Amino acid sequence: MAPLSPRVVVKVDLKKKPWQQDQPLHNRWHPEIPPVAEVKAGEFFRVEMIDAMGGVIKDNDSASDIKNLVLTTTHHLSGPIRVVDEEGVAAKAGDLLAVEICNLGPLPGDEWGFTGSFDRENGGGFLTDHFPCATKAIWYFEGIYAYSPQIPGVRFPGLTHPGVIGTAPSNELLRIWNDRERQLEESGVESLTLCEVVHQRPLACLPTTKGCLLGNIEEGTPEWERIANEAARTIPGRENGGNCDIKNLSRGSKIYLPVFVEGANLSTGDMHFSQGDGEISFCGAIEMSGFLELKCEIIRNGMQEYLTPMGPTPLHVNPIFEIGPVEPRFSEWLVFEGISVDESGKQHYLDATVAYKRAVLNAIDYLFKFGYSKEQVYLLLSCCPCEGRLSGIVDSPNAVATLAIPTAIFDQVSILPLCSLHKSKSFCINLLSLLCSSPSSLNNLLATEKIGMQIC
Amino acid sequence: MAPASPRVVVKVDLKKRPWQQTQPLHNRWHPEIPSVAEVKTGELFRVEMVDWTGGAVKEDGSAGDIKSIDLSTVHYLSGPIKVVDEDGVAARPGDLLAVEICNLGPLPGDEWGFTASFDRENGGGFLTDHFPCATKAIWYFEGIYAYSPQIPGVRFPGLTHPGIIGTAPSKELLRIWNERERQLEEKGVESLTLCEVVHQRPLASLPTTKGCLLGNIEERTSEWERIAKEAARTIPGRENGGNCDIKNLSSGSKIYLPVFVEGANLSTGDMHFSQGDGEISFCGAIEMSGFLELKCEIIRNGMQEYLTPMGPTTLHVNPIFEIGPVEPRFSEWLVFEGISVDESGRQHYLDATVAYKRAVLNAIDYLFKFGYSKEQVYLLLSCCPCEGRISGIVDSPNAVATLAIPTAIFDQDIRPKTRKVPTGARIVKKPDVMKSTYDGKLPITKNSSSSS
Repeated sequence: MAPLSPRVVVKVDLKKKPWQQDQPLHNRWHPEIPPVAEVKAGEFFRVEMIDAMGGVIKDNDSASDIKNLVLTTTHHLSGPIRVVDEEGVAAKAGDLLAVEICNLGPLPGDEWGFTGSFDRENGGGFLTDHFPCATKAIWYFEGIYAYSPQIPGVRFPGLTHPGVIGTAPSNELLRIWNDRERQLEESGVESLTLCEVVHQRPLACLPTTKGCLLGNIEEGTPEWERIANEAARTIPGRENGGNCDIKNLSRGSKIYLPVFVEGANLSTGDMHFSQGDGEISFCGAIEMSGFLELKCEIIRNGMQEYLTPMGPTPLHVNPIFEIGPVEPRFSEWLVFEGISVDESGKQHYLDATVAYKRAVLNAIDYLFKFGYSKEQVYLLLSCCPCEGRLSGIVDSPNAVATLAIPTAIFDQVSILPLCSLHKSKSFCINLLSLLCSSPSSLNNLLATEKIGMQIC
Repeated sequence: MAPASPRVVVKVDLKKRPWQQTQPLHNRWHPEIPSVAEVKTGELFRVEMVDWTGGAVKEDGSAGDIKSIDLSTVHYLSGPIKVVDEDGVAARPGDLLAVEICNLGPLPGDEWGFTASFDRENGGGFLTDHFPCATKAIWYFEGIYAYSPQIPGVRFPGLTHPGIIGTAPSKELLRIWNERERQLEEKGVESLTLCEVVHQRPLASLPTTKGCLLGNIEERTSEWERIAKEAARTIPGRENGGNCDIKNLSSGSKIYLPVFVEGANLSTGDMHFSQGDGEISFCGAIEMSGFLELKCEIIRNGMQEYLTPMGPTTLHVNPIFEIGPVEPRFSEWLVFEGISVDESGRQHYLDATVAYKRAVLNAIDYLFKFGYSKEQVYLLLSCCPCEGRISGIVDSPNAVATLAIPTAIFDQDIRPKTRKVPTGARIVKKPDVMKSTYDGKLPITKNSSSSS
């Protein structure tokens, strides 16, 4: 007989707020957040999720919702989901949880998404020192394709994936996270050479009760207060998976997650229709609501079998991922290179972050010559399926980072450099229509961008 | 009529030393190294090259040549090649030189290569604090495939590419390079937080007359002395291209190089049969001699047209690359992740280098469970077509770097399984890579929570 349709273990209602859902959502990692569902190994099940912001970002023509966003509420996750084997025995600490993504996509009737960059004082992004104001672009989905009225001339298939997927940490792992991230914050910006070049702040998002959502734990109770003061934010990727942001983690992929608590307590969210490597504008993928159809297996004692801790405790591990077999086929790429020399010309040492920043800036400056504003390109590179690579990491003093852009996503002009044999020049139209957070910002942009037609 | 066979503009004799070649090679970047050949735009031409060490590494059973290699002699490059347009007018500063790679491969009769990691006191590598001794593996080519007796159970097609391709710098650009790299060296290790995690030294390879080869400039003359003291080493990638190490830069690719001197003075070398992203063991690709069949175009004023400087001068640019249409088709990848937490558990800030180091270490530890030594995996990841990606760069405090390995290159299934191979003795792959001893005293980074 045909296999069953996947059982819906977490359902969301897009008309309700995150805390009003029948199965409450959560936006922190903590071992004591109770599971909202249970699945068996080998069972085919469906998880629905709202977008990372919980519906706060609207399909409209203003970036003020991005500018004013309360970032302590992100990411709203579906789960936790308790996993047991066929005999009903729960996953145990030390196991590996193999999660297979059998299918995924946007929720029916909600086939749209958004890409934004945050205000420098409210989240920022990788290039926040170049692009300090909040921006937003809306994307509409036509089957596998996405297009944006604010970034015209571009259309590409999605490599849809969950941005966040992970297991609950143990108490010990939570303490490790909080200790090391607090130490980073306390040692301060001055102690880190990279902070002279990368200006996104804060250095780490430490636990806070503000905006904290703990699923079935009632807000304001002493239990909630205790947990909220130590529960980890969902911003970074960590040992449990978390914010992996691996853009190829699409249909058919498998994620091997370490298990730290009984039942594994799997959670997932932050659906992305598409993402560029790095997700550089921070709200950078095409963010959307969506669903995952999953199947789990428990590899008993898999952490010892397959993972090797690197650090002071056996908990210092990372997940393993197996990429699925389906992805868009691009065969033509334009590649931009960056080396470890920052915008002031200062030489750094094998710094891949500085090199990647330069590669991204080079790509932005290049596409600016083809009629896009720099803000448009910044958002585009965050969400189209471009590839950020570490090409060289040993040739002192420069790391070489590259950013590869598939040329086929552009429909109006060829973005390849033209040789002298072709004396004509591309007809160049300023396509500035990016939404800005305020009219004054828009006026500033208009004053600095090339206006109107440019014919040579 | 059919197009002419490519004209050989630089030919090498593998039985001769680099300085004995009919067209002398060079191993520095400098505007005054005279060109050894001239080509016209649109002309299909062939450039041959020796391997980057000039034949110093042998196809033998020892890593002794790696341990004692003189790294001041690298990389031996073919060229410079002066480029002119159809009317004989040379490329000028401010132009872009579009170089198309029409074909490439090993030199006939020399179908072998090597992968190695250097001694910590002599070059090191990305993981030199974990693997301080020199190691070597030899690879043999069977058409598009490579295999190594020292890394058994692995076979993969090559994504062959030139590791180095670039134009000569102008005097001003050379001064910029030397000043910023000297400043880095002078400020020292203590000023850089990354140096607590990445232990490859020196921070930069500054100009030195030792091992310097300047093509047609006769050694030990006063002119040679002056140039040798300021000529840039070929180790890093820079504004002129240089050591790009972009592993997908294979047949059909185009490289858009900025032109800084009259004639562009294109040079190339450091042929790689295959490379993993990062080339992590430093002598990390499958290094070989080889040939390129190239075609150039000049985009007049292309630097202003297509590149935007980022820095204090208009010379602070980077090349652009157009990837070719032919590459191996891998559809199954196992991906290892690293975050910005170092081996001691210390948290760094959006550091993609630390994250990548962790991803590579995770992959090494994983494949160690399938019978390979860690040194074998270190060399394998340096040269097989694995992909290093910056997956996340904004989710403070952790960057997420990933290393994707194509599973098809192994003759066993290396994926995690629920019904695993029964526990018991680990089947070890023999022979291992060739190893030398580490005679230095620097501390080796140990994994404090694992015994292996």
